[in-house]
Amino acid sequence: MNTNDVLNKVQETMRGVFENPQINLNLQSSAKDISEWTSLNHINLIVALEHTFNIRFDLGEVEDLANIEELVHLIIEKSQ
Amino acid sequence: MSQNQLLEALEYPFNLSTIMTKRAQIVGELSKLKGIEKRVAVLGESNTSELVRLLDLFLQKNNIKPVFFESNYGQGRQDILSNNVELLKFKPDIVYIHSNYFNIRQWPKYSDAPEQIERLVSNEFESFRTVWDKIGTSLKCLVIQNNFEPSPYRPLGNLDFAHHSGSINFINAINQKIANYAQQNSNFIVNDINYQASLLGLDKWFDFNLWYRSKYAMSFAALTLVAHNIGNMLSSHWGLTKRCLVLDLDNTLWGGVIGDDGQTGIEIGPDSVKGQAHQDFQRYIRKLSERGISLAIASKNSLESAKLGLSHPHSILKHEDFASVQANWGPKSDSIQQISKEVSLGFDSLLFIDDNPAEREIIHQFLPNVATPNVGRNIADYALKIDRAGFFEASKLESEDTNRNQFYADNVQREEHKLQFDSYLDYLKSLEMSAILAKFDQENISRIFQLINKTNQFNLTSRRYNMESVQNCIGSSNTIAIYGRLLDKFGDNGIVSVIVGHILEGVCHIDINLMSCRVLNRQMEFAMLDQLIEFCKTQKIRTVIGEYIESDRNKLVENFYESAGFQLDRRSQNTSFWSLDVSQHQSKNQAIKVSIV
Repeated sequence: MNTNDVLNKVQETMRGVFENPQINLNLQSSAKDISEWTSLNHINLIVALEHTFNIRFDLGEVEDLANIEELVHLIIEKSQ
Repeated sequence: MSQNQLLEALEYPFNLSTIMTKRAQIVGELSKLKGIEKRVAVLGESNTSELVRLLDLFLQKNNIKPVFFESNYGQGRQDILSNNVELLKFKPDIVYIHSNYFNIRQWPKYSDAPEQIERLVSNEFESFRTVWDKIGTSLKCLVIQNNFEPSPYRPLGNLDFAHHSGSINFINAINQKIANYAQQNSNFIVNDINYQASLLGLDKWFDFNLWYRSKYAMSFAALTLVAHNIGNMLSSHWGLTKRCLVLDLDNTLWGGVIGDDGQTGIEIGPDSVKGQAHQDFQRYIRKLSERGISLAIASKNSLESAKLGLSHPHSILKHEDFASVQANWGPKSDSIQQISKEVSLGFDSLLFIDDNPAEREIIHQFLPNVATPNVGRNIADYALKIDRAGFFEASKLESEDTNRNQFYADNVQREEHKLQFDSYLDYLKSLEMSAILAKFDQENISRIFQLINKTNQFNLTSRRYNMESVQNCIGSSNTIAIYGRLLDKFGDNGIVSVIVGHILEGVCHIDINLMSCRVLNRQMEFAMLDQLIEFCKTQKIRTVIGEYIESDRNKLVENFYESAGFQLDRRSQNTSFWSLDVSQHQSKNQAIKVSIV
């Protein structure tokens, strides 16, 4: 999977979990750009991504991501 | 995604991805279902926000529209002990205490003597028991309490089970105390997470990342399983679970086709691989029947073939075990309508098991309220498919339940007896019926509670009472609350009817008037009314007001008050009010000898 595939899947998952089909992500998006991205929703997003990509994030990996690009790269690395 | 696929995500073993990413659509589908509103307090000893969202889905799926109270994180038991005003004001119908492994405060040390460990077991148990007792006196509602799952770690390995200081030994000792408490307290039921964790597997049950990140005490897969189980327990508590199992014959109760293969050709019993599985499936059904689930057959066969198959020496179930047998060549939707009539249960109380997907589809299309689970093609899985889904969850087991099939068997005798009489009244008189009527008492309160909360058809108002309201009827001077037991020459039918009138300014308003359908058309309803009116006379009450509130299931009684001699006062949308001048009352009971205790 390339960056774009993963980005699209992350966007789709996020739209579902945050119950907002209008969310548009680019690699520079971060939590402060998306109002639904609260700390509680963050946990649900992480669990949903773990199910979607069949991966598991270690403690510390997703607690302070700077932007979506970091998340996408982490998923690609985990999926290999 | 289709409506079916969305709702199938909520069926065991669940589709968690769909639940998490299509929640808005699922909620949209669920909002189309009807439901009764209930107030649910979730007292968390850990983070419960996802649990409450999952509970909302599973309760709505079971026709319960919940309103939630959620304690702040970790405040669950504190909210009870400190009399949280918000919680008292909320007036929950049930309190669920979501606790688990993480809430054990003190584990044994390996150096502890057995007596010290016993004390630790007691301490952990008491820290919960004080909360349950407090709920019993303050909120007076049903309590659902988790037991404990096995601990994820075993520093002693397998010895943790048998050694007195072992972690598994410790959990099991606490769980035993919880079970004992449940046996002695009728308003308390246990959510068995110990079983649920083994079903899912401990490695999937715990997700320590979630605990460290946000104090979720279990994984989302585990929370889904818990929500499913709580949903089933509440369904059962409010009388919404299935009560009759409708079965196909060929390739369901036995392997092969009885009409083609003959009695010696079908597979049932120890002589073949599939025959063993069919026989074990029948054993499972027998267990359901013994705890009060009615059985019925909907089969495309001649009646002779059906009987031939059931008389196979290895068939566990016999013809007389079934309350209704529909073996014919018509559509099964017609057969099931007939079954519904014969067992006096609505479609939503029926579960239909058939190996043939086309037959299930017909029922799904024509009788959508009948549950038609996809049991697949492998007979070895059939009992599991029924068991895991929780269709027959039992929140308690009354002797009335375990005797039910005897009642039905007695009914068959009564029906045969009926054929010998010219007039219906002659028949009723020949039953030599006697009724014992009494005001509500402690001894029979749990059966009264069950009748009030589970009776749907012969029920004039469909009002449900919680345990506190039932208790309040005892000894109250402005309430007339009577229950009735009916006996006849074929046996004791048990407590079958309840009537409750509230007295307001010299008028008696009938708030509840219901009867079990197994004694329909026996004049018991008139015997009950007579007694209510007798009590009214002793209190100088001149007028009785009856009310009929139409529901999906009580059409049967829409003309009851008219037939009892009441006058129609007024009619609104789905409610009609009827009144009776006590001095004008004429008894309609001609067949039952009544005694009062």
